Amino acid sequence: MNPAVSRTLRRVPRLVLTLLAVSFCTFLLTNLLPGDPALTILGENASDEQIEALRADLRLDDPILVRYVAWLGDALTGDLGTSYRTGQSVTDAIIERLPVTLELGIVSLALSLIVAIPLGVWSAYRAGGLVDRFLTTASFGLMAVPGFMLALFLIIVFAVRLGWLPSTGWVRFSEDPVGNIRSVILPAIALGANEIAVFMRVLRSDMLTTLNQDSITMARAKGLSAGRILTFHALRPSSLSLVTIIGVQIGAIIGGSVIIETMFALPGVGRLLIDSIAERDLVTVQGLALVIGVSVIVVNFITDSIYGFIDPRIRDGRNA
Amino acid sequence: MTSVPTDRTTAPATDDAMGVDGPLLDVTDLRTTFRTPVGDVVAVDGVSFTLRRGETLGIVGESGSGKSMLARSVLRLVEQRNATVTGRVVLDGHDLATLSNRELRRRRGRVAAMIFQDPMTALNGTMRIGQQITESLREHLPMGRGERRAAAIDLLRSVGIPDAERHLRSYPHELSGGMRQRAMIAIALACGPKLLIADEPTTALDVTMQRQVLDLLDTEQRDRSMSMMLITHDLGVVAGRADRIMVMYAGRVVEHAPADRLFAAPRHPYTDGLLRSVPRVSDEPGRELATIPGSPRVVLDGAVGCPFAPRCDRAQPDCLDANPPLTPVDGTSEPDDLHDTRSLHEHACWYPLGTERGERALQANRAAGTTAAGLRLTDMTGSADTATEPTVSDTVARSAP
Amino acid sequence: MAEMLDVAADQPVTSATADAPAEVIARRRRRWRVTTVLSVGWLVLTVFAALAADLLPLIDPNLVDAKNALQPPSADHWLGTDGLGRDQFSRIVHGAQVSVLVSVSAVAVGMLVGGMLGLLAGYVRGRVEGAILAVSDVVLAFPGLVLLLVLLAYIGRSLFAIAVIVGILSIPLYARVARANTLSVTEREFVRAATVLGADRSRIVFREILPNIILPLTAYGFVALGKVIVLEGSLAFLGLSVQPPDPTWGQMIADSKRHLSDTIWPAIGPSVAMFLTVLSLSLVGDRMRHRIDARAEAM
Repeated sequence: MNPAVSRTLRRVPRLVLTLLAVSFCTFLLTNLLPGDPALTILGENASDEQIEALRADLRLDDPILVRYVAWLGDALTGDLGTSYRTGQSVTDAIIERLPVTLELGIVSLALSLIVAIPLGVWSAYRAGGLVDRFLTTASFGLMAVPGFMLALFLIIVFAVRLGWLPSTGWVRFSEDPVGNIRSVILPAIALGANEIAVFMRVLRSDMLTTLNQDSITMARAKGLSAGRILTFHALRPSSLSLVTIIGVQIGAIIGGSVIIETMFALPGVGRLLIDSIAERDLVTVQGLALVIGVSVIVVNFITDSIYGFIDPRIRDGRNA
Repeated sequence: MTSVPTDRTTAPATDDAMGVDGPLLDVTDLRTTFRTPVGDVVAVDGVSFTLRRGETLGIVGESGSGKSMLARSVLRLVEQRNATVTGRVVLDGHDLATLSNRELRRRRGRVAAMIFQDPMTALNGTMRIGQQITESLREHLPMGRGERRAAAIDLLRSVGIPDAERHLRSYPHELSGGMRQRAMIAIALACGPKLLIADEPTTALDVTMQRQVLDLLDTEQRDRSMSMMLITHDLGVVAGRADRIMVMYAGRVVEHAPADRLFAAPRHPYTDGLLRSVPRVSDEPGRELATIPGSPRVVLDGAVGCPFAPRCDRAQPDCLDANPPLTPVDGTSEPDDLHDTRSLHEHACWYPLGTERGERALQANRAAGTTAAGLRLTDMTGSADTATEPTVSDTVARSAP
Repeated sequence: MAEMLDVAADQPVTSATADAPAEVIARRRRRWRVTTVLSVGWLVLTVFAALAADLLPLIDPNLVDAKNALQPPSADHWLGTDGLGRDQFSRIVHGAQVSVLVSVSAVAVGMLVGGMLGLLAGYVRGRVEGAILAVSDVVLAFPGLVLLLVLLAYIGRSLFAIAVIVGILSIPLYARVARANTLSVTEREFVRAATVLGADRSRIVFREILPNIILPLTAYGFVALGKVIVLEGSLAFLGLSVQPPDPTWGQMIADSKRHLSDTIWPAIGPSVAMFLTVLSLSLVGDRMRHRIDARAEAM
């Protein structure tokens, strides 16, 4: 079997354990709170009948483990419960909004990588030069600008003053592809700007190490062009940390999308979370917490597995 | 493996007869310095030499003597921001300094190729061996995909890698140490270079592998009538393989002679020390190998005196005041044709071996029990304690490997 | 928050000056000193503003003056006024209180508890370490902001709750930093020597290990302070921070959004204040880490 595949498989049990732990914590959210969960969920104004119905529905009189197993079973079959505020299935609500968040996240990740990789490579290639020093300073500045602040100034400049792009709202791709792209640009930039600085710095420091190695001198002695050396001989061995950081930053992107979706009034998962919290729609909040937690863990698992495919030495268990 | 020819002097002559005029490589006053916080470190200090077609030049010195930096400077591979390389390098009729980057690149790998000490670090660990060979071919030669693949297989076979087709798809870490070095040689030879610079090609290998790899280099060199710069810290490696040998110390050439002459009658005390530290078959059992006291130190620009003086058992007061220039040994005479250095024997020492002046200096120091530089002489073999010397900080040493 | 902080924790800072020529290094050191001084200066000013806000002769930050709403900067209102005519400068000074209070208490909680747990994990090893690491993995699996929002939804929001929850959620991060540093310290000669010589455990922990992990934790804490300030701002934007009318920088920036088509002045003051504070914190933290790295190399 391909060593990268078997390395991935070996890590599956741990993945499953973490997933179970996360789901249990999510489950506990509604159960560890003081007072009657039914009352917490329905709010003070609920009638006695409503509360009784919910208590039965939640099987609140069963032992906690029994309820967890039942809840987990439902969740695994795609049933995250029904919102008591809107009457909509939580699963449906999430699926309806997922494409928006996914598109936003992917576009912003892609944008930040497209900007960060060349800058990081150049910065390391000409380390200590003017461009490098400027970028190092700029990356500190960029990291100190919170997403919401950047979003605000992007709106001021590109939506309010110049009027080039919409400041709020979402257009579905299927309805109007151009409008869809226009509506995703500003939010994606606001969401990804911080990541540019993070990715650039990580890549720069790894590239610096790689560029000092004999393999680079060897590649130059072979008469290869700088472009080919940088991409084939320097970037690939230097991209391990970058991949890890991308995995780690997925969480930041999901967290950030909550704010950005709210700022730009995008109908995504993050917005759903905020709305549900504002309306104390705890069933939906719980479902969202589960979905987000599981996604982050799975994405991290995947990026960790990609490792083995990038560097054959790690794939074969050396340096692992 | 084919046997090593013991008489190498005939090989260059045949090449000259092929009608190619001028030497393959002509280096004049090559100088590489690094700016550091404590001053300019001189890694290569005014080195000049020529290399004829088909000839092997051995370059010998301890680590830190500047020999690797010399190799990199020749191909203009020194890229550190704080480095300055000056001097003339004429490779196959072209002054490298006047070439554009693009033209320079066209010569690297095509006209001159290089192999390194440790294939584990010099090969790209994330690229298959085959790809590392074919990328040079693609860069330099008008070949199709299939031709490149066939050429790569031939190359791997010629360097003695069994099952070449399969190993095209191997990654460097999947090969053994000796195979890796062979693969590196195959990569370097891919475009049929006229000059191969081998920087400590066997240091990372065990003894039996060393021999095999050196034999392989010999065979390839003869088959392709390449010139070779064979860089090593071990005189045993160049013995019987190099036509001429250049001994380097502190970035300078301290002795330069036809190989047989150098082994028979070394002039510079440093060469003598290196020779004494090589074990020979003819040694009586139990003979203690001599060592040169101390270790090479970094030389800063503007330093006066002979850099070897602190470690030399002949050092006299004038050794500390003036750096001896490279001068021809009497009798070998300066040739009229500057490029014909075949018989030239040069050394850079005020008190060389084999001269009355030199022997008197040694006797005087022994009688005094100390040299002018404060080195205490304890016995006849020359092993001695070094007086404590202020050493230059680590940063400097690191900038000038 | 958690994952943003994470990067800082996991990335050993490689010296940017490693390959730079001497003059550049020297120049950069000088430049660093200036920026460090400026950063520390700004931070001192911020803390002073937070402590002395109520004592300073400032306009009441909550004084509504509808006739003078959305004024540009003037002699009366140095940084202009907001949509209700409240003085921006006074609100920024008072807003520093929330930023300082929330960030310092959150970092204090996280650093104290996390530092102790990390030290325990790194020194005792075995099952204790396994348990601490397992729990921290689970907590870190959630995006910090999402977890914070969820918990706030259940627990209810107040300044106190925000500080405590953020502090608790960041415990695993400090624990990891502390554990990593404890591991490297216990491997060092002097600690091994003390262990072999039979020095008692508490002495080793408090006299040998603790001093060596406090500095890296503090450096990390500086960066974390900035992250918490941003986090409070994010919450304000989502309408989940402290209740109006008390000013916070995030709240002020969020408010300014409503008036964007009329004027951008209300956005500028608080944005600059927050930007400078976060930048200063990360510069000071980075400077400390460089110092620590240099010291570690020298050892």
